[in-house]
Amino acid sequence: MKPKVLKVIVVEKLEKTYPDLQRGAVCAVRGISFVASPGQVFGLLGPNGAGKTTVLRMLSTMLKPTGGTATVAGFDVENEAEEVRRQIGFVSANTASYDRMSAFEMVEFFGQLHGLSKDELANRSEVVFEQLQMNDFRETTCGKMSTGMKQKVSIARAIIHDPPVLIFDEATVGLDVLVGRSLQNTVLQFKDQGKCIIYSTHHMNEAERVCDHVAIMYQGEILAEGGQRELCEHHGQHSLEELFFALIDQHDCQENSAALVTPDIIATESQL
Amino acid sequence: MNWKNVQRIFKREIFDQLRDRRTLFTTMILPLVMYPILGLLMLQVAQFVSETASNVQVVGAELIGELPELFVDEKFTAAHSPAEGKLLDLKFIQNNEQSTAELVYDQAKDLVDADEFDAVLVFPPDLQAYILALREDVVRTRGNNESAVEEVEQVSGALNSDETVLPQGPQIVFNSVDDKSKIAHKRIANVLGSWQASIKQSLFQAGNIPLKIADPIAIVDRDTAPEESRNAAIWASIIPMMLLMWTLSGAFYPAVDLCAGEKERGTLETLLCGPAKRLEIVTGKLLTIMTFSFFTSLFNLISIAFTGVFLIGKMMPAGSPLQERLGTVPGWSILWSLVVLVPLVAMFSALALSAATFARSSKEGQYYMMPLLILCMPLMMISMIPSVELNLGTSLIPVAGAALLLRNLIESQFSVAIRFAFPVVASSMFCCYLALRWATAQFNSESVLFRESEKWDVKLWLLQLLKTPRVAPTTGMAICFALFVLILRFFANFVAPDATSWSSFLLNNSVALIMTVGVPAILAAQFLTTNLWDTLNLRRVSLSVAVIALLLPFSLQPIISWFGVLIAEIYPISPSMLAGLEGLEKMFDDAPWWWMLLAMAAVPAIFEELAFRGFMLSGLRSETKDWTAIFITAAFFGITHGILQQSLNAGIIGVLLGYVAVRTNSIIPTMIIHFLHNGLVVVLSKFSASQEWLQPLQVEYSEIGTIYSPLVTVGATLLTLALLFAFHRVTDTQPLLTDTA
Repeated sequence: MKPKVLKVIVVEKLEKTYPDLQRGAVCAVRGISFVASPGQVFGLLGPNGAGKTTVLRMLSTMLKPTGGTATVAGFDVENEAEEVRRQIGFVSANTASYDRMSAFEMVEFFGQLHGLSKDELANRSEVVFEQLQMNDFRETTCGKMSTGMKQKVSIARAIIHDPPVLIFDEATVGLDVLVGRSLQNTVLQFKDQGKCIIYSTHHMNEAERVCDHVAIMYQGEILAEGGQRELCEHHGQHSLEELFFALIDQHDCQENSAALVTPDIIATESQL
Repeated sequence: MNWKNVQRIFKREIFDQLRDRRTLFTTMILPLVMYPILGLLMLQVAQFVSETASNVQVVGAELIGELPELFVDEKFTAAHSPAEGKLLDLKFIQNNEQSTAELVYDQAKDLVDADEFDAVLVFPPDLQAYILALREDVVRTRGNNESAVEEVEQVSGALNSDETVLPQGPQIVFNSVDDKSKIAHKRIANVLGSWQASIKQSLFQAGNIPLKIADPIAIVDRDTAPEESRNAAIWASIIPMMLLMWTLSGAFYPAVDLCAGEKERGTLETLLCGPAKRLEIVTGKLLTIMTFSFFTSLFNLISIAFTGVFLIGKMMPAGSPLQERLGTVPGWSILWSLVVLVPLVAMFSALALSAATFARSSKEGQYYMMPLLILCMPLMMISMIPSVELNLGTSLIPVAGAALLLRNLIESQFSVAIRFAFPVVASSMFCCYLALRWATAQFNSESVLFRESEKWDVKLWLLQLLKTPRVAPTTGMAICFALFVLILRFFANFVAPDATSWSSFLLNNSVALIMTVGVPAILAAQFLTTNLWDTLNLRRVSLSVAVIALLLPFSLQPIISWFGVLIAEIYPISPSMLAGLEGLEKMFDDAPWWWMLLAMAAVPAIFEELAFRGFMLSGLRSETKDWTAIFITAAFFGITHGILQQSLNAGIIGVLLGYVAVRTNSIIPTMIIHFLHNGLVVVLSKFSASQEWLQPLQVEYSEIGTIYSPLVTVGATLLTLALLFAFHRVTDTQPLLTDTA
């Protein structure tokens, strides 16, 4: 039994490099570090291909890091993967529902996998279905549901075992404005319940509303990390979106100038 | 492993699949419906074909004259055609006596080719005269007993010989490619056969000769096969293949949905970040696939039996051969065959699971079905070849052994089946274990589970390979290289000119080996990796390793020879192969020993080692475990040797060479062992007969010839073990330099 920790997620110099048939070795995540606490929504912001999903997959033990460490609720993602998986609930962009199972059957299946007893499962299902307002389509098969309903089932499946950590990987993609807003409200409810939430998105207005702490990722690196207001003030920007573009421009400029300057520097050094 | 989780996953997958109409249709409904429909269709077609009257033109029927009656009211007489008469629609025309036989044939051929008649029956003009002349001869020789028998033989022989000897006989002009024409031919031939017998009878009567002289002895068949085995003959050839085919298909469709389908829907990701371990997920899915595979086979079996017994068996005319042979299903035998099927079900399910896990989408998964089926099909079809029997050799061949065991079980040949059931089950279980390991590895591989769905651009990939060489080749490169070498060897065998002398044989072989095995390895290492020498494992070794490598081949020689004997016992060399080898040996009589040593020992030792223990082993070791790499390399090394017996022997030596290469990270010792091993075989085959000192070490062994005595072999085994122990002590598994290291 591990002691309760204040920092639920601790990521240190996390790296992921994978072989690619066409591009050779690709470094998707380049030594990033951050911490997340209970009752906090930690936003992982970045464009497509920034490495957000790779980080979340490493945190949920689907991928093994090639460098650095990460712990979830005190358990190491590499060496205590099974324990880590018991502490998390993962909601992805694709609603990931079994089309031929009803909402209840699907939630029940994952509850059983998490080792909930029959009574525990019945009580917990009641709470979850009530909280997410799913009782109307409890017996409907997922194949017949709308995307919003499926996403609710996906959330129900992720929280059935009442995990301390919830991971949302671009969970609002494909949802209409109303359902998207409803999901954000649900996330805020979970925050109020004291859960630690990692919320990945590339919609800045969504992050502004939901997240109280953000990390802006680009090309596998974290460009900036901190509270929303502090970050904006520090960089002299008015909104997260402006901050996001400013950081990316700054990063690209630095890369370009480095590419131009390096050969000259080498030439100068060699002359010396 | 938490079995409760396995059970939960299994239960969910089963329910999920039972709700999938496509899977249900393919695995259950299709087999149940397909065979009865096929059976009914076959019956319809058979009835249609058998009951349709053949349209026949009869040319020159009027020329029969005084011969026994053949036609009545423009039909064959009932005496000669109890059944066929109704099914032959005859049109008569006269044979113009002026026409030549060729002209008549040409006209008849045109009619048959134009499909105006199914067949044309032509009576030659001089048929009656010929038979009457025969009768006169018989009457004339009556009374002279000695010459009478001879005469009868002549008459009988002449009547039964073909038309080139007997131009006077009636001709049936038909087209053997056309089924209708073939049926017409068969019907006419039956009628004419009966008519011929009556002509024979009349001739014998004219000569006052007892009719039984024509057939003085009757050949009696006493079949020792029990009735149930005889009746099961058709079942025995059909059922094994059908069962195995459906076992594979029944496994594949659920596998695609359970793995590739889950990837596509994104649910696999959900399952992977759940509390169940990968092994639990694999096992749960495997059990589901196995269940569907088994029940698909069972439903097929039930459907085949039902179709056979109730549709064909009952609806065919009683007493017909098909009715007798399909009328009874060998029930207990089939139940036993279901037991044999279990390890195969597991094997096919694991194979299907691996292939389906590798696929990115259901559509891609479906593409892998055909290659798997094509690979297994020849092995499944073995049960349909009557000359292939179940023995120790065939029982060890995966799939084929099981097919033959199933055939024996259905034929109720339980004594043979029991004898070889263990090797069949053991071989199937071993393959199942390998397939299961592969499936688990696939499920643990990030690159497989999270393969991107973007298209694979061959051009980009090749450019990438050449532009940015790697420190060590990848497993994919190693496998591609091995397949490339196999294809090159295959074509080289066709292109190589036939050797006429020892020099041309040795030269051709050496050049082919260098070009198809050695050069590709060197080129691949040069262009695809950063360090040619390291990739090919060309590293120096210690003196102690070199000494052991020098001694090992000598101590191994007797053991390898006995392996050869064992392999020849299990898979005997065919007489044609033996004859070929003898011819080759004679050719080498004049060959100088050093030439043979160079071509048959030095060249293979250098170039095969560069390719297999060099490039291929490096590639495989970069991503797989050492022993997996060793066994895969040994398997490819064996396969390149072409002849089965040689391949098995090479495979065994390949394992040892692989082990030596892994422990030393060098192919220098393996080159030494390879050279000395091949060299010893060459030298001993050349000189052993003239060396008297060798004789005490050898014994005669049946057809194989001289071989090392058991005592020498035991000694050699002990020495080999000691050398291997010493080798193990002086070496350590060397880590390979890879891109990720």
